[in-house]
Amino acid sequence: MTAEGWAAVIAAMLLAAAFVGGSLAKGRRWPWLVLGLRAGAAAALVLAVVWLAMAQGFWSAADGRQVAAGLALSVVVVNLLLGVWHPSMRTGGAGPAADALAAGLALCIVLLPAPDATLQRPAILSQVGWILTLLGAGTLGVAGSTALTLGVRAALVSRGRGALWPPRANLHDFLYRATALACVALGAGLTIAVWWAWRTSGSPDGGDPRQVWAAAATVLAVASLWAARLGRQSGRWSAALAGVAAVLALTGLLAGVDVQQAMTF
Amino acid sequence: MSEQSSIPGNSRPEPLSLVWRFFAAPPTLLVLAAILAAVLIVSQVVPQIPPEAADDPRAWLAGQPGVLGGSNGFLQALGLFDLYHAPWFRLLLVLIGLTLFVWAIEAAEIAWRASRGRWTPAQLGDVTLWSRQPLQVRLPSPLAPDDTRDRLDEVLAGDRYRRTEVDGLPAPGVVASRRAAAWWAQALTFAALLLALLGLAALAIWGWEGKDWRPAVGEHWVVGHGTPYSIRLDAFSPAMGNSSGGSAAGRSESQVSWLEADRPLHQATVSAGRPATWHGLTLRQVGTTQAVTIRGSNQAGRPLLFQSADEVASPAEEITIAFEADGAQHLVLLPNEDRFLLFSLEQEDMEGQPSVRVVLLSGAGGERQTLGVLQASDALRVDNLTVNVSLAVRPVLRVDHRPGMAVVVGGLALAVLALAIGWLAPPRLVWLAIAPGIECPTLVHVLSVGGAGQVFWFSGLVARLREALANDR
Repeated sequence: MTAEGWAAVIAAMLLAAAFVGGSLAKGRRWPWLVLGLRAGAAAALVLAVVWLAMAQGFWSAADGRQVAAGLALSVVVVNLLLGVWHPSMRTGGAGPAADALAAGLALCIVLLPAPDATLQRPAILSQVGWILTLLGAGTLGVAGSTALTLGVRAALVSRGRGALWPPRANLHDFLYRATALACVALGAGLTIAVWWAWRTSGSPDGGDPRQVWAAAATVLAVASLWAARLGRQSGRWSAALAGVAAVLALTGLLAGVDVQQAMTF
Repeated sequence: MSEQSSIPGNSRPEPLSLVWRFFAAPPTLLVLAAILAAVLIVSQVVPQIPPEAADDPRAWLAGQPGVLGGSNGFLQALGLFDLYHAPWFRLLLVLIGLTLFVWAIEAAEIAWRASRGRWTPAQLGDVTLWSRQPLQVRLPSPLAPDDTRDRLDEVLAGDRYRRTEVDGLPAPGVVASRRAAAWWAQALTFAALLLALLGLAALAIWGWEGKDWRPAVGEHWVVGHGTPYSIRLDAFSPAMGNSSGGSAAGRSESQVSWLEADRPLHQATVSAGRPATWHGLTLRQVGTTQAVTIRGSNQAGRPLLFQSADEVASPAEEITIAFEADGAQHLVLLPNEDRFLLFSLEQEDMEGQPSVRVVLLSGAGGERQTLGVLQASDALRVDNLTVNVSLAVRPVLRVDHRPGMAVVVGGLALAVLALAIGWLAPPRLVWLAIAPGIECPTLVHVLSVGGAGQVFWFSGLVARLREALANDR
């Protein structure tokens, strides 16, 4: 296995341990241990991203493994930083669901094939646009994980077993902040993509189907922010829209090209 | 929150109509956004008619296989093969535009009142209608109304809220806002998205794009579309090495002249990502391609005749083919030899160098024989014939007129900026009505814009207010 493959496997194992630790969540020291495991996974993913780029000679969104590494790193780092920054979530973040998601994405680095054609070095601006898009999609992954946590929490509370879970208002606030950050990053990435497509081809459409998936996810993420004002059941609508947006963003960025090809033939 | 009640002044005053209420309702915007997202995804699932097939879409549709192919009459009836030009899609964009306009006005009104502190009970009702179901809670206070007001004022001042006295509500009260300027960011988000939408509309109505042009140096191109201009390629310098990096050293460049009636008007240099604009027209170098020039002779040294099977042209001793894209193929007939040559452009290799495969088709069965895979000019032997193949790189140039693109990009950038401000510094707005209570000396009615995203900070503020009122000094 390659160096980046080992880094990805180590990151996945650390995240799996964080998932187990976060799910158990008993005792005062557990949350800090989980936080340490996430930080370790983030370091391993940084190495994976760097090694993948070095092996290719440059960072390119045309390499599915680099996209998976970028998404996994975004999920872990955003979950860590937003969790620590949030006044009440502290070590919790989006909870174990985000760890499981990031572990799955880290394994994609190993499972996805290397590009079969020679990649061309993308322009710097195009790279910046893609990095922002991946950051936004990863943040949306954190928001989607929070939505899933809210759903599981609601199911457990209805059975009288949700006492150890964070309060609903805290989770909704975390969801709102994560979704808002995702909107900013995705919006900035798409704006750069549109501007670059305009400069190069004259059309607002860059021709990459993954950007259309990202645009659809952005629209739903913005709708999720607006839904948070609906009043009654606003939380459900906001969480559901954030969850769907996360699925669209991650599916589109990892498999958007394949979906289009599968539908063409 | 725990205690809910109807809000006074919640009825929308005239002259706002039902149409305005419809577009101002959050569900309207949510449904329209969900439909837009669904359309974007469907456009990635159902094959869309490409711009180059716009002249004859039926032929393109006939060539699409599978369940989602052109034979699916239901999809055709819905216009799903050309989603972005379907009338219902344009109607959707118009509805989204109207909704954004109404929301921009509503948000601007809130921002103006929040920054000026000018509120009446009816206006508060308008805002709470906008947020549909406001957050509210009643706090009993053991203090007299004036003392209660002082205590609340201390907490709000400590949290850096700006307070404005308001007569009315259920009782005289205070409107408190924090980071009021950030309310303008919300209005700016809607206005900027509307601006981007208007830019797209301008693009669709007045924009056009010319066909790709693959010229040799010295060739002319008439721009058309009602313009008097033509373009001439004066010089072309191909990229050195891997061309797509965008680095100055590796970038291919085209020097062109804009002409009017063969009179040079303006000279420009274009390359990938560096277009040249002249009187609202933009010339772009959208790529490079290979061109093949074919000559040949027979054993006696007489020139061979060649005829392109793709164009209506008489046989010639020298013909030139410019490839459209990777994988493109061109068939060339040798009229007097009963043979065909198939030229196909293959993908770039590890060094970023494309190659041209030359295949001989001969006999009644169309037997194939690869004559060579060329990366440079070469002479090929076909039995007793010699075919000279010269390779050259040409630019792919395109002229377009995109009157709204700057507005689209500017609108999107502004919307992102406004979203970022809203994320970094979320605005807060809260109303407090202070009135004598029945079971306690004073009852404080706390009210704010509703929604799950607001509960966290509102709960925190209410907890601090409750603590201040309970604190017996």
